[in-house]
Amino acid sequence: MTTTQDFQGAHLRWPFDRRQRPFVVRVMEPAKYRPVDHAEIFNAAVTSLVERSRRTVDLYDRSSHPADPRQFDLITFPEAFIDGTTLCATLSIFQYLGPSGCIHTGLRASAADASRHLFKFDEMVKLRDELEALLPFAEVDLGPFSTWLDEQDQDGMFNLGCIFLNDANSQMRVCLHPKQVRSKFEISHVREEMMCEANLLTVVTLEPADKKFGTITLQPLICSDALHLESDSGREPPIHAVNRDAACLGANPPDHVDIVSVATCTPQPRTNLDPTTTVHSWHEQFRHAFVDAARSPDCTRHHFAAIVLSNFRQIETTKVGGLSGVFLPVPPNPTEFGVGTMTSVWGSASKEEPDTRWSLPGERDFTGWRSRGFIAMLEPANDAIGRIFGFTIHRLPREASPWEKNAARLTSVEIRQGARDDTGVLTFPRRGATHE
Amino acid sequence: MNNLDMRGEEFERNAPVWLVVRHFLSADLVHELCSAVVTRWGDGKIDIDTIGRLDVSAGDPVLASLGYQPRGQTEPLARYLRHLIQVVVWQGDQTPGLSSGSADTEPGNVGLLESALELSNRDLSTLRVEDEEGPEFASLRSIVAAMNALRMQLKDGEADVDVLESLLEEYHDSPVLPLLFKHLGDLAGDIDHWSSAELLYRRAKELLPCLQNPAWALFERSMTTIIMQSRAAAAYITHSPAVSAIMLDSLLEHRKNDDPLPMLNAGYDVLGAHMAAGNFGALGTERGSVLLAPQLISAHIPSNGLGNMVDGRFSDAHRWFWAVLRRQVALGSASLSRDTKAAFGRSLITELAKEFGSQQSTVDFLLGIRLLLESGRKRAVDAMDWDAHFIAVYVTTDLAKAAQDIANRHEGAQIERNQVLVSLLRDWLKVMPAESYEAASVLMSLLSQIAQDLPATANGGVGVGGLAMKALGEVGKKRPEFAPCVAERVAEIALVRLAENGWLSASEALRALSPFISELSPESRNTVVEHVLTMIDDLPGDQDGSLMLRSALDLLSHNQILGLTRDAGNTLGVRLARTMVRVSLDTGAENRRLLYLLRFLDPALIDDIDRHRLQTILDQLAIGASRVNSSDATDCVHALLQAPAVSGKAGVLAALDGLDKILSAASNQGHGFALADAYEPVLLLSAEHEQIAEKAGLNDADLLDRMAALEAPIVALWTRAMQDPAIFNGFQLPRPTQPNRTIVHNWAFACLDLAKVINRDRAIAQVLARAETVDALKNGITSARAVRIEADEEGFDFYAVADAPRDSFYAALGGRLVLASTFAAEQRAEAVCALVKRCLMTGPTGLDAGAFVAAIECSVHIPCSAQTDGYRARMRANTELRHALMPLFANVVVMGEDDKD
Repeated sequence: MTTTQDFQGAHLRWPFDRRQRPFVVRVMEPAKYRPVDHAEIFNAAVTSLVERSRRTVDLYDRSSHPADPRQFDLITFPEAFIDGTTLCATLSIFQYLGPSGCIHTGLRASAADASRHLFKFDEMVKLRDELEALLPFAEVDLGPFSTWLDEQDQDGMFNLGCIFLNDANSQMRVCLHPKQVRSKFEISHVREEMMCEANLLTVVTLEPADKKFGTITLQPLICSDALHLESDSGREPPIHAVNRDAACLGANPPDHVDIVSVATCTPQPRTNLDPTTTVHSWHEQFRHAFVDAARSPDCTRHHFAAIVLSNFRQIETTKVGGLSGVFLPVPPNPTEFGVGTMTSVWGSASKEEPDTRWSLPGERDFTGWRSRGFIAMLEPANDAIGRIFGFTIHRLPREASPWEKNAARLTSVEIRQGARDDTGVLTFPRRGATHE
Repeated sequence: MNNLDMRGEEFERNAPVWLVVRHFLSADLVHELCSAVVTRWGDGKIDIDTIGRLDVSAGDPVLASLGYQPRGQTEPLARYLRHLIQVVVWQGDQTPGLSSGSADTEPGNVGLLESALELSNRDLSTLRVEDEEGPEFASLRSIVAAMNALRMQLKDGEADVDVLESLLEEYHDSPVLPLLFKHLGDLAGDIDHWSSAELLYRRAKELLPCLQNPAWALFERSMTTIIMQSRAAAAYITHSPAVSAIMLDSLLEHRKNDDPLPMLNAGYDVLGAHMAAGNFGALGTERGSVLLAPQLISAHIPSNGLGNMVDGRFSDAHRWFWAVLRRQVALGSASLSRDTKAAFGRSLITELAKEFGSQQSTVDFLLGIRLLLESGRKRAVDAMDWDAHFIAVYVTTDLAKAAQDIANRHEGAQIERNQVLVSLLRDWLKVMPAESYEAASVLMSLLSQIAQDLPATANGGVGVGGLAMKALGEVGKKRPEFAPCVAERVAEIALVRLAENGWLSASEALRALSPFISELSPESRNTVVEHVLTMIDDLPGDQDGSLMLRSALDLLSHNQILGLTRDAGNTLGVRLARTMVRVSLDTGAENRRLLYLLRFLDPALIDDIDRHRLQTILDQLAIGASRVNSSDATDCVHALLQAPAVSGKAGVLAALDGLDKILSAASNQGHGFALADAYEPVLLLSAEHEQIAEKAGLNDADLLDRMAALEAPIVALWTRAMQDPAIFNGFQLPRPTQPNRTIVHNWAFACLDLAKVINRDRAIAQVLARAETVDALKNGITSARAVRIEADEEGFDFYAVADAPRDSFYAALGGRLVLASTFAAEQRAEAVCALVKRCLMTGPTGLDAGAFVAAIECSVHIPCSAQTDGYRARMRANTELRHALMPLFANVVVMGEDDKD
């Protein structure tokens, strides 16, 4: 691990089983922030995305078709999602799956106590130790985190996220990353609810075993980490820091971040168009951060980054979140992605209205727009359990030829809806597919 | 200070709490409250006139309406206040929504207003104790505390008015206090605590004198009426309708001449209370009525129609719908009138569906469809459910043509109406009975015409033509019997789409065409293949993994198209094969699929460059097959066996090595997921070992030897499974403790298949028999045996018939009937008799018919018994089965005269 004045850095390089250029993303949007249910949703989502459907064979039906291609390169879950016990139980099984995509999730200290998402020092040490005992490579992967952890105030409370995968050699790799920018919900007079700002920058470079493919660098963040908010320390937020303080990532920091995966838990503003129509949009500060990443001179490593966002649909009785999806700094093509989704566009609406702006909430007709970026997201819906928004980024913007029109587009858009089968087991079935 | 100023001062001082109870205010007071809010929050820089124009109609305040015309604002605070007034006027319990989503970053502390609106729609169940201390309702803490206290009081008993009053003490000199008590009473009533509601209403009434200041006189008058009517409503529930009637009579009797509210609001309640009390003499009671601003479109909403529709009073519903619709049309409404049409249309169809079987009206059905089409509301139509019998009667050729005329009658509405039509046609075709083929052909033809004539894309997304194409694909897949009539046309449209410059519509067209391939003439099929291959050739580079290429590959992998690659002399087949190899090689993700696609291919067709690239893939698959700690290992093994001509001897042997390792690893280590689907290559080997050997250049006997070597690890696997049945699982979180029954079934089936081929039936059967003694494995193994009856049983296992669980018995019934049909007459009758007896024990199901027919053919007769009586009783209770099964049952079971009905 290297340090700069402000930051310590963790730049992990993992061999990755990349078999194609398109990058397949799945984003989980649970219906409610209800921590006792999170583990079940997490387990069901991962199982549904990994496990294939089967049916019983007989003398007349024994034919089989080739397995579906891998269903994800990245799954992103929301902030404060699963506890350490669920994580370790998952890893103990997942490690035998063979090469896989990445899973990024927010962690929480307690599944039973809805108010306990922040980790105490001892709880972080315990989680680190459990992971190291479970996985051969964890000691290496968690090295920078451990070094950072050893220097922390033992009374501090931290917000953690985790990203893991099975690498190209079927070895499980895991990384813990602390949240660096505190949200307004993490300021409290109660010590256990006051988040400490961390200063460990984390990026993961996925290095394909097949060298015909390029590397992919992923920056995992937790909610307000993505925003340019004022901090106690006056440090830069992580997106800016990966540019300005890249030296903390070692002698060879990545030249570019391709994917920013953001586990969030944030309410979204609503606008009433008429007495019966309420429209939703991404929080202004997030939208500002997306545009900033795409064009600010302070964010040159993020100019081509796709920003993947996972959020809870309902956070409290009255706080509506949702809008999980992705921001891409390219014009959308097409401009709509089917039932259950909506699009927000950044650009100029027409020649007569040349100033760039975000499309208005509820605006759906983008005829005449000269767009420069867009957010494709889930439309709010009253589902009981949650939805998985799936899409493929056909070419990561950095890998798209500037002469190839619309290469960095979204394809294979799908929405899976959570449902319980006859035995009460929660699944996220692909439409038309059934398990026996 | 005049009355207006006095009220203004009060509204300004306590604006948030007045917002909480704003639903009690008359229009003029709402106007004053909005002005006060703007004055206070606008801090002198924004006034109400810059926000918008508010018009209160003249006359008695209780009858007045408020019109609001917002003005464009760019300044964030003014914009927020404009939205706030809008949601207050809408009365929909929305909140304006903070533009940043965070009150902290909004100008002018408007979070306080947002909280007030939020609190106003909370009920006692959505409020939490934490809200009292939390920041969200900080300035309304005493109201939250009172609501929480009330909730706690109601858990154990009645509302304690004194405690609540002390919590609300800060408002004791404000006219808002009686309104707060009225509001608390309403919340108590909301959770069915009406006696507490009465107490709170009474306290509210007692507090009303604080409104006796001349500034509030008119409001005090209307609140008195509202509280008295609420008390009567509570008394109706807590005491009796008669008590309620007396209270309401008193309210009307003592009303002041200039007070219209009692008659207008309470008139219907008086009548209802008297009727419920049995006082029918009250029918003549006079009731007031209100005509709400008739020139306003918003005064005409179809709520009465919808309410009647939900209650099943369709004639009333339709009268209301029409009454509202014609007024909306009269006022020039385009948008709301479409919503009414959609509701009206649905109501007509719902009524016809409800009366189906007793009444029928094609005229009403057409009217319903016309209204749905004219509404242009696709989502309303998508949400409808259709019944096959209903469709068979109503959806005729004439109806379809009429619908088409309506959809295309006007250019401006053509797109939205055709969108509705596409949804209707698609959903009708999905459920239409197969015998309605003629009507189905017309519907399919209509869909294809829309796909052909209207734009495939619109606004960057799928246009109505594209929707129609997609619908054709869905119907073709679900109802292949309807595909032949339009297959050629669908192919033509798809080729046009390919020629157009749009990847989205081309991809959709290719996907839609897939279910129609079998129905195309060989010439058309070849034309399609040629066009698709040309399209692939013309695609710019770097398209691997694109939707278009994937759709093209899916289409080309259709069995009837891939069959072209069998013939090395077929030019198109050669071109197809080479393109498939090239495209698949270019798309790394398709490596495993590639071998599946090349399963018919003559390797001689592959050119040298591609052959070299293919070898790299095969090497990777061979390595993958040996990596048994990855679930991919099985896919690699399977892929190598799929196309033995391509993978060759080395590939096939590598697959067998991999399979051996997967089995050994599973029985030794017990974890890993490669085992879950490894039955697939075992099945493939068993079924096609001769072809695999021939194509791979192996001697079949050698291959059989290698397959025979799998016996030992298979025995070890089942032995291990007896200790740890959960090894038969795929990936699942959390780790399952029971095996997956489908995987156990498939493994048992595959092992029995292999055993037969390598002549080790008895040995494998013994292992399975031992495994079957383990409860967790029993069902899967039993069902696998059941579906193999024809292949494995030489004699007829009467014990198996008698003992099999219900599911296994029925799974094996078809096989056993086929087996019995090969026996000599006497033995056959004996076997069929055993099957019928078992059906009589476990049935009825529709499957019993097969056994009964066989029994009739063999002249099997079964005497009447308690068991047959039980079966008959169950069958007669089943409306769907009894008419079909009874004749068969009666010809098999010998019933005495007394037994007949």
